[in-house]
Amino acid sequence: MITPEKIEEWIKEVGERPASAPIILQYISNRLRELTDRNEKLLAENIALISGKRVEEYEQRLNHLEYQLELLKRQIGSNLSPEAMRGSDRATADSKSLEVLNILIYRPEGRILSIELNPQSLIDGFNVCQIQGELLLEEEPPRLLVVSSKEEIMSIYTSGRISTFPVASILPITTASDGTPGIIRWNQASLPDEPRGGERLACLMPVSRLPLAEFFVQTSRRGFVKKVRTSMAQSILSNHYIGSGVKLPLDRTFSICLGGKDDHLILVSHEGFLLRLEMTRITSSVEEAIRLGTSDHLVSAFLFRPGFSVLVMTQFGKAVQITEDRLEVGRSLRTKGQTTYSAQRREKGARVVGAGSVNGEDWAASLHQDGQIILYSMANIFASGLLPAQSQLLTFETFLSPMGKS
Amino acid sequence: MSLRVGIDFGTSNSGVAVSDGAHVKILPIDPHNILPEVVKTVLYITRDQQYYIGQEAVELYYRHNVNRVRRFAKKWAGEIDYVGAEIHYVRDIFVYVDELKPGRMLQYLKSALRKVGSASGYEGTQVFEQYYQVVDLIRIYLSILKKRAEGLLLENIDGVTLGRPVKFSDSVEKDRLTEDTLRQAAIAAGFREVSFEYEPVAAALYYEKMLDRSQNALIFDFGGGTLDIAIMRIGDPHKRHLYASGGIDIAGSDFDRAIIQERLLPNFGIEQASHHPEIFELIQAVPDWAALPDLSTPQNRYNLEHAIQRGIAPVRLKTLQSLIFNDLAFSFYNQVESSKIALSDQGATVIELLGKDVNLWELYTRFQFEKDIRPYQVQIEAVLLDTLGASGLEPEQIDVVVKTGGSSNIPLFSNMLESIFGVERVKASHSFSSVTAGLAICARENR
Repeated sequence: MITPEKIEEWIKEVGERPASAPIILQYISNRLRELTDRNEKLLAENIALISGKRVEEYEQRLNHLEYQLELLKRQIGSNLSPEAMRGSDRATADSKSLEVLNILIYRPEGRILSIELNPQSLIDGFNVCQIQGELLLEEEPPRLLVVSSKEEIMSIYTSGRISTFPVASILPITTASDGTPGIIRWNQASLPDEPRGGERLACLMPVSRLPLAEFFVQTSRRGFVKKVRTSMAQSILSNHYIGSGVKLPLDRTFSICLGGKDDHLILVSHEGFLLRLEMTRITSSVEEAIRLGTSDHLVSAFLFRPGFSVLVMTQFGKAVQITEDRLEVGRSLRTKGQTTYSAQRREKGARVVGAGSVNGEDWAASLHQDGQIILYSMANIFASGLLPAQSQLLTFETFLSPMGKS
Repeated sequence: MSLRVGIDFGTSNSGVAVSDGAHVKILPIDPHNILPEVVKTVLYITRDQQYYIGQEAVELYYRHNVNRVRRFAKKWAGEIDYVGAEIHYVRDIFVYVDELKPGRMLQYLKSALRKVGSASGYEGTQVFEQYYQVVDLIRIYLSILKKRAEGLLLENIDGVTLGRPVKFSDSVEKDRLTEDTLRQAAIAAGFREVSFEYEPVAAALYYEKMLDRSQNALIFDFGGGTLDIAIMRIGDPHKRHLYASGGIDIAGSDFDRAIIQERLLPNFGIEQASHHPEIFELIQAVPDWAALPDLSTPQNRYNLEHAIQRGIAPVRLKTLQSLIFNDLAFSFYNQVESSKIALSDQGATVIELLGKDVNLWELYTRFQFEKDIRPYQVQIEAVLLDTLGASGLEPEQIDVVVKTGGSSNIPLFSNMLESIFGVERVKASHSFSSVTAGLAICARENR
């Protein structure tokens, strides 16, 4: 900092050694230039503050944070309830209930089946239940989602409409108590928000991570992607609309996931093509990311977990594990991506039914042609490379074991 | 035949040289340095107890530390017994330890050596899981120097002549204790024969090589830690005579401290924090290079953040916070030292420290520097005249004044010598290597 005493001392230096004058002048003018630049930036900031632009920005941020807080409250609400605080037995029961997983099975018509799954019963090859009745609807198999019973779910429709509901609001279907696989039917399914005219349920997404995420990443069946900032979440949720993320007339919304700017998105197609894409390459407008063949479509879109592998599952139960070093990062959009298995196997009819970024502690649930839903330990899949299944797979979904238990 | 080298173990810089009787070779002991013949007296110890010295230590320190992440953990450090008239209880003591700290930089090892057995009671320091006594730190430093020298000479080194100031301490007992500590460190580093020579005497012996007749020389060895003066008859190795020697614990590091004290503390909010003792104490510790690394505790962070929130000189306290918690201390002291050196050649310089939340800029002139160190100059002049008086010689009987050591280049002291002895009699020797070279000559003669 410059004080009058210091200036006096500088003048004395020049008085004693006139040769010092140019260098002092040089130092002061450099500093003055630097401070002028900084001053200009600060003035611009000040103008933004005075004009209220910053206030608006902060108000938006506050609204967004308030919404996120509301979501979190809903998730842990029962634990914080006065009853739970008063009664220790009740609190223990609640903490147990936290561990309950739900397998959600859903179809484009909006019907959702929920089956409770106690993590203590996570056993490799465990036959959860058998669905009776027609499995394929409009040639599409049901999709699976394994989530905690305390989750909040966002449902996305092909029109771009969204709605939210807690998992607990879907009445779980109890399977047979004697340990044999219970039989369930589609007429037992819930319909939390019936699709409106012409629209279909595209996917379900858990939203508890919303406060930690920076973007929604939306994908379409034909491999188009777009991202939306989560700071828009409040407006999206209040308007119940995020957009379809579709450009082509015959395309439709496939999935949504939550991510950050450093994440990588993995897209896997039915015919076994895979694309790894940096989040920074994805724009907020709808762009074609992976160029798919005319009969191909996406079957899985998820975020890559660094240090993990990608596991791709075919309908025959053959697992293809791709380690991180073999995952090429897509340098541009509109590419075919890398193949996950040989062209010969593709010609023989091998098709992908699901994929995920996993390690040996993860689990998977699969829906088979005979309607059975079976659990598999990822460690065993890694070891054998196969699912010991009697019938072909329709859907394959990976999930993290609760509290890291395997 | 055993090989002996001379080692100048300086406060700021060190060096190793060897003599074959006809020539002296200063070894390029620090290949990473701009001047490979000079190695910084710094020791960097990593968490896995790897040791680095000189420029390599500096570079590694910067790479590992600046703007790194910290994680403090509370650890049990010991217990204290409280014994009263009717009460006795034991209390646990906990300290906060930065678990992610990759290494510890130790500088001014020679100053630490001088504190052994002194009132300040500096005996050693804890570096991660290991406690190092001062003798251990110097042993490590000397053993690396020895290993490097052996690598360059392709020969085992058995003996060393180490330089020492004329006075490690005013107390004869402490002076002996300090020399013994240095000797122990050298022996532990692998030197079987260890001898000592006064640093100014060593500088005189090197200067003697250039003489063809005997002269009365005053050696003014002014480095980073001490000023050492020797008045000698040199020129004929068989008729050398030491008239008198003297010295004082004032040198470059004191000037650095004076600059910080007089010019830079306002940048950290010392004026505004005068009514906030917890912050004031922190700022007062800034000139002390040894204290600064220990200030990065969670309590101090909390105090600073609290004061910033309360609006007590927020920009200046943010600068202080960044200095303490972003490991900028080493850069800061280096900047101050470089600015001081720059003022030997030019009339003005800028002390600048940039970093996260730091934008410190201080225009500093030679006029200001000389004003700040004037009290030291008075003391130095008194010691010089006392030593001259003790030699029984008059200023005009001194044929040559040989300046050596980095601080001897400061114009204030050059002018002082010139005004006492005359411009034509003041000569400059190699600032950083004349003592080293002289010690190599001593080592050769002691063989």
